[in-house]
Amino acid sequence: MTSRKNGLMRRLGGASLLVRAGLLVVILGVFSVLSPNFINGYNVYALMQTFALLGMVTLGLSLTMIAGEFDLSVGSMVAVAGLITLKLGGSSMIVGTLCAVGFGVIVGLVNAAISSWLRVSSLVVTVGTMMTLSGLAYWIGGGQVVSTDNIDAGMFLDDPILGIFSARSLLAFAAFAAVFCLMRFTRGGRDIVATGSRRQVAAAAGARLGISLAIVFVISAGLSALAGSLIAISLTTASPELGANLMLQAASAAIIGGVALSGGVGGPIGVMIGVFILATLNNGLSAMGANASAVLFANGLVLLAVVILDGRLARALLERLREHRARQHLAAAAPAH
Amino acid sequence: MSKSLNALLATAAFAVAAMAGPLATTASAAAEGSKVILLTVTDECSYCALHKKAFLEEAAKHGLEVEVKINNFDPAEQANQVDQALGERPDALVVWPADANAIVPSLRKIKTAGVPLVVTNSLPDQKYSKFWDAFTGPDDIGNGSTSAEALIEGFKERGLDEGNIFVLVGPLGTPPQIQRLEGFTKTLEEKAPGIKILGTQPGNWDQTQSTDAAASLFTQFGDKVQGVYAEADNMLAGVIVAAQRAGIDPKSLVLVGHNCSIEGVTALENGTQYATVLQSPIDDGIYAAQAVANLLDGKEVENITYLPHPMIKQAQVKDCYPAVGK
Repeated sequence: MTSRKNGLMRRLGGASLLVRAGLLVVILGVFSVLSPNFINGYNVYALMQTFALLGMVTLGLSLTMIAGEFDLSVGSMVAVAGLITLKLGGSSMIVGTLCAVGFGVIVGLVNAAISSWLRVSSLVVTVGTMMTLSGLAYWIGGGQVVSTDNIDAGMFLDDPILGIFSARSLLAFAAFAAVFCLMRFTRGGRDIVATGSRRQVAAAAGARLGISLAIVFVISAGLSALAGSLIAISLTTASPELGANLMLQAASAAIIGGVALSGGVGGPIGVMIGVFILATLNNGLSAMGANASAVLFANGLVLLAVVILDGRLARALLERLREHRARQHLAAAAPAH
Repeated sequence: MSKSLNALLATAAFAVAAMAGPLATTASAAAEGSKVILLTVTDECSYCALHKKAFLEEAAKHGLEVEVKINNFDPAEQANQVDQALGERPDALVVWPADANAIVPSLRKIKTAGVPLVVTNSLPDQKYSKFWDAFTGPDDIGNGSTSAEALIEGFKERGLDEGNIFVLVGPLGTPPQIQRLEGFTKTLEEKAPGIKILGTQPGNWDQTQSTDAAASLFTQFGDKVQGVYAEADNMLAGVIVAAQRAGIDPKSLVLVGHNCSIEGVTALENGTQYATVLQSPIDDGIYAAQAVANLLDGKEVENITYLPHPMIKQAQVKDCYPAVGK
């Protein structure tokens, strides 16, 4: 029975992914019809560039959500990381990026430590981190935007590779691949899902809660820092305002990608699809000249639609499978004539 | 054999000429019927909305087909919109930078792609001027300078050639904030060294924040100042409220703002505000449209063209009516 349930859950997971992939295809199709220039090299490149920033941040945030937590500080971390990178980078941006990511790792550890040792909800902890980082962002830049003359570093990151990719977007894809391997092939990955599903049961069964929380918060802060560092190099500018909307967008993308706020559900493939759904929606609306309020409205609609449909679809599928199984049982149990 | 080789060569030559043809015509395409993409900022700010409207109207007069892309002052999103716009192979681009520093890599991209480019309103660092064909927009140093001259005249009318003021500025670190203050303080030092600035606070282009900022400055210096400069009229409106709450009659102060927005027009007409400097979003939009039309017509265009910045006192307030939609 247990193995059948596992198979059922896996099949549900697969069905859920298919539905999302289908939604992405529909959105792509709609915009291709509405905007003649939608599917061309430059625009797909633009989509990948959006993915480079939003994808990395969403990936980290979604890991904390899968573990049953939430990292509210991802947006502020993007801003601070950019400022650290440009302040310390100079002619060698790699140094700046390393410092920024190192800072992210430390903040992630602090988030995890306070959440697990002091048993404080991560929502509360990361609100504190978020505000501290925001203040730090203003302090580092002296309240101003920090810019650099090093345009070449940004060009290296953004020059098209194979027409539609760039070093930045390929790095984001690599991050997804790494997290996929973590979740699928390591004990750490399974512990993370267990931590998010039923924490007491998981702990009793031997899942390592402390380590799981450390992993997810470090990855979340680290990836946000990396994303923030790279976007600052790309734009040759860092500002305390950068990433203001990112946290909400990342949360939406994660939920659209099938990650549950309650924890224990979701994975990198779904998250990638969710990010592309949001990125394609925004890109398509921009191609049509929509203004900021229309974009926000559309994002909200898609999020609501996914949440409603997902709940109903999953339940409907579950019902169908149960009925099918019940009929099979009856047929098997019917006395032979 | 040679006949088919000739035919092949002729076809190849024809193909090359056919491909070169459109490329050649793009370079000297007339404005009429050209496709222009305007990348601008949110029209939730009334100045921005008036700018866009004026641009579209002027562009229509030149027969330009304009497509608009909007971002909410988000430089990362604007960089994506530049990529998207380049994919549509426009005849020209007009960009209002969400951030004058962050736009530079995109300007370079547009230059490399060979698309004629007009930058409007926010002037990037002039060492990058080779990346654009034309900039049209406000001269913020000149704006600040004219505001200072107005303040000095206001003080003179009251028989003062020295005194104290405080200043309310826009978001710290943004080019208009820096440049208006630079122009203001330079002119003040040159022409009226006896007038001192006691304090500066950011009002962030927001009336409510300006009220709070001005309240703290009035608490500190209320009995010592004879005037206030705010980098925008809507911020000055906040200063007026703060003065009233502090028990100070605003008309007893020399109040100078900038923009000649509706708040400035109202305050000038009822005599509360002494002067402002007109920065017309209509002119801002029209200049940009004219620049891109001239570029497409193959005419000579200046690399930088500034908007005029006339001083406006109560007597000249009607000059501001078109800019506020009256």
